[in-house]
Amino acid sequence: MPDAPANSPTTEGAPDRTTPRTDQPRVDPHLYLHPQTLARLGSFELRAKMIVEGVMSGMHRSPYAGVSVEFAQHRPYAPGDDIRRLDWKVYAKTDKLQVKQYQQETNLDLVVLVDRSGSMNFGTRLYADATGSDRTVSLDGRPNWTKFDHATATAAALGYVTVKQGDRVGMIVYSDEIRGLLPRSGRKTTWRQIVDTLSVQPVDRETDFARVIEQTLGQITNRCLFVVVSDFFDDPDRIRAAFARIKHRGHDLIALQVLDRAETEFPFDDPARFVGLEQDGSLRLDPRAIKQDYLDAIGAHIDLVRKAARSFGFDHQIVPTHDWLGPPIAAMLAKRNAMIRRSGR
Amino acid sequence: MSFLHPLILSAGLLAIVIPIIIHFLRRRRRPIEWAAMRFLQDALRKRRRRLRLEQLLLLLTRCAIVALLAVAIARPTSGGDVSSQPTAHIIAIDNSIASATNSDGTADLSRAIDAALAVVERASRSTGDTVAVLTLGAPGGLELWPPTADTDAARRVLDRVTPTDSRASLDALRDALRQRPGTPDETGTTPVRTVLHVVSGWRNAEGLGLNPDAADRSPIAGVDAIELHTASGGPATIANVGIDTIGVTTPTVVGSATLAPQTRVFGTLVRSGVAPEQAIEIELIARPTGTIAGRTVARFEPGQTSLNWSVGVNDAALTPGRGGRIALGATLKIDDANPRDNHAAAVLSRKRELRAAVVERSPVGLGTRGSDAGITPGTWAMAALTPDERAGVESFRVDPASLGSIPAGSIDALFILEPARLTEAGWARASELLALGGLVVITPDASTGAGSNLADWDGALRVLSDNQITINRNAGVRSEPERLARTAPVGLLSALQGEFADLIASVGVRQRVDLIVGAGAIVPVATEPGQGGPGAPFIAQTSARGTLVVFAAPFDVAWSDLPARPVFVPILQELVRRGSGLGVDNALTAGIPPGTFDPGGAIDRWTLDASMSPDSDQTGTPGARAGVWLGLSTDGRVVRTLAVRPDATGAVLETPTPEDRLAAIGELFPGVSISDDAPSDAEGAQVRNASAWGDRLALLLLVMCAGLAVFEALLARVASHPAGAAA
Repeated sequence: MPDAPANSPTTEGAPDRTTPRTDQPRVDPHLYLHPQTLARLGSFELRAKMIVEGVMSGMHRSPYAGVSVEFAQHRPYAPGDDIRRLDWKVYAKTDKLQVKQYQQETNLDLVVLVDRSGSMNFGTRLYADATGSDRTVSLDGRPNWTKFDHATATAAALGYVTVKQGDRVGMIVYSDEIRGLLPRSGRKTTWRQIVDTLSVQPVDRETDFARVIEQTLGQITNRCLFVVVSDFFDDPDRIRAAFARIKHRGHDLIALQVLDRAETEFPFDDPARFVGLEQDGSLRLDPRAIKQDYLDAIGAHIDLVRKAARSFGFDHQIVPTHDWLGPPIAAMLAKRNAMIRRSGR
Repeated sequence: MSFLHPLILSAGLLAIVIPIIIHFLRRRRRPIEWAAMRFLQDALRKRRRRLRLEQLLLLLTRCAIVALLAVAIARPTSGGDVSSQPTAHIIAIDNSIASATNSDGTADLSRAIDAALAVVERASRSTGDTVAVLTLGAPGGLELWPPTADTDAARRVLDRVTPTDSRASLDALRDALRQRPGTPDETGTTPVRTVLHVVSGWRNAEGLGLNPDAADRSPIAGVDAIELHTASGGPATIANVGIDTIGVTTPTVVGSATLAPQTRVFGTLVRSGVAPEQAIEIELIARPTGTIAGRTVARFEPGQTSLNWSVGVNDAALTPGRGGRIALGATLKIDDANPRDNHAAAVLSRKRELRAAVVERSPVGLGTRGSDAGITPGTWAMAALTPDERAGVESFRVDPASLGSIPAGSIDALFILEPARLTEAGWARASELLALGGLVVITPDASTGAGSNLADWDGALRVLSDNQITINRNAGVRSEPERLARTAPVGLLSALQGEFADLIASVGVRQRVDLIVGAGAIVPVATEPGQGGPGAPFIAQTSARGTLVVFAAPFDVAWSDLPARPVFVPILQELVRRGSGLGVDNALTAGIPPGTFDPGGAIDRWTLDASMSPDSDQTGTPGARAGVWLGLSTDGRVVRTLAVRPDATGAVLETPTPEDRLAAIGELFPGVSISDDAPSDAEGAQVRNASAWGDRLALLLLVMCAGLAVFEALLARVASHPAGAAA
């Protein structure tokens, strides 16, 4: 194990992703949405665990028993009810006037929250390896595939799946507050817009997830499925409080925790100076001296995030940057859908 | 504590910054951007204290290793060995006759020079140190003085040091230290520590083998510390034999080829050293101006330490009509530890005839003086001195008032028969003749009697004899009849063997003055002991300067029978021949102060007579080198000849114990710390090792270094937190 990954990011000559890029050529969105990923995720459906509210007909169940194609239950007729909803067969049998109620399937609103805080600008995987292309550096000159790149790919993939199944997808980009917003849309090109939007985002600033959730919940009125794509390097208590707020408002959430292999394995041997990406100073230390403690700390944090998510019935999945995107998301979707079916919703 | 290599210590202590610099350089690694800082901070927070302790301990250990290594390599020593102060190293190298001792193929002096060079080498490596070189072979020499930082000059001086034939002397060192500049505070210069290095073979029981008769044996000041260096090799006791003294009883050879075919020279020889088991042959060679005029062989039998010798000098080998000198060389045919005392030389003065001045007024017109009219004491004397033309003695009468006008160098003997009439200039001439080694004979005036005039010349006699011979004026003229004692002749008359005792006993004495002789005088002839006590001196002799002989009675038959007796002629002949060693001195031993062999200040320079000396090396001075030395006046005339013999007593080998030599040196330098090192290795110029204390300390420091290095390695491994190790 080298003392530091050969492609570990350093401050020397690192391209600047902290300012918006307006003069760069447009990124090829297929760099982020690999055909393999599409092939892997294409057969999956992204279902909502909660009863979503939507406008259009879709595969998602609606809490509103309105006109729908699927009978749900009877209730006694009350003056004023639409007589077209009277079940005459039940009347013939029981001489009681009963009104039919239906499960309305409507569209899922997926809101992808993508973390663009400074910590997401870390990555040790080679760009060429991650994209499977001939490009060895990104458009902004980075040789490494960062967590944000991986978040972009994840968001694009989810957007694609969502739109393909007829639902809508929107995106919020955040750091210490909402920094960008892509309105929900069901257009087929939405996933491209996701990539376009994210590709010009500066990846900097600190993280304040709780505040972002407050801002988000203030803007979204209907129930949505939030997919948070972040490293969740924030105060666990504040994360938990944010989850609680989401749950309280009746939303569903999938926490996709994007982590780099270096963060989960800490493969450093020689003393070095570690410089924080979110204005959190620097540390000179011998990695070997604190490796185990570090692994314990980050492991504990991941556990806390997982437990916090699951305590509210949310899903949590680690998305390693060094792995192909498809399998972890596919696994998460499969597991999630199975659980939804079992719960009868 | 001080250090042999202070510069190395300074550099080593400065090198402590290296691990410190490395420690901080390692911290300046290429920075790594890191996202999960909070977890690093959490981990570090848990381990911060332990990590700091580990790193600090590692840093201190590495610094300590460097520091201990620097101190060990710098070789600490005890404070008395080497000082951090600028030090003046005064090297007193013993090049006395004992330094020529060769016990195993290498002479002591060679080893001493190597030891001295090692001291110079040590001084050359210390900033501010200076070096001076003195030789201890008497009279001693300031070879390099005052102390100088020019160590190359010291090396050149040491390479030129040769052994003397004298014992050791500290006079030069004593004088040099007395003349050193005042205390540094007075002059404003940096205080200098003075270390005296005495380098010697220590072959003498008293340490350096100083002359026991040295005038000044007072303690010496001006030295802060003393280091004794041993420069001898071989077994402690080595046999050495030398010629202690060679005496010539007839210092003047008188005659020519026409007068006598051969003249014999008589003398004595005394040997020093351990008696060998076998006899030693001696060769006596008379060599005037390069020709051998006589040879003999004598033998010291086992156990014998002195012998009489005689050699016939073949006058045919001498250049007719010329005066000059004859050198005798005695050489011990033995291969012993020290060759320098195996040869001694003596010098004889050769004259066609001796000139004796008889100081007496002319008898013409003076009426009767003495008991026989017309035969004055001077007549008797001249008749005895020149009985015939072959006597080899020319005698002539000189008026007392005119003596001062006669050059002392033109006569060999002076017979003062009317001392009361001598002028001050006359007495001065007599003194000058004595200083040149001539003979002065004084008798009372024949007219001495009632109303004695003894006081007129008693004072002059005291001066001439250095108070060894005076007249008892109270006694005046003794008029009791006496006879001379029958005794074996001594002094100048010692050669008159055989019937001398009977002949002298036949001499009657009617009148005489009462001579008082001191311990430094000899009485060759005395009166018979009487009822009043022991016999009184009749002929007294001193040899302090030249030869002074005083008779108690004039050469007048009214006083004694002596002038009329047959023994009178040989007495005067012996006095003249043996007492008149004009300008020749055979009584000198190497080591005498330079001023003592030129009391009159007539010598401009000295030169070694190579033709009369076996040693071809002509360097040196009469004070230090044995041989035949010629004193030249400003116009190039030889006015004095010295036969200087080696001080064989200084070559007698008696190895002192370390305690003895420490005590001997301690007496001369009271209150000064003295260190005594092991015998130096003369095979190479080894630097003197640090003290044993310093060696042990250096070894201990190295062991501590090794231990710390092991500790550092273990600690570094623990601090590296290898994979799998418990955090």
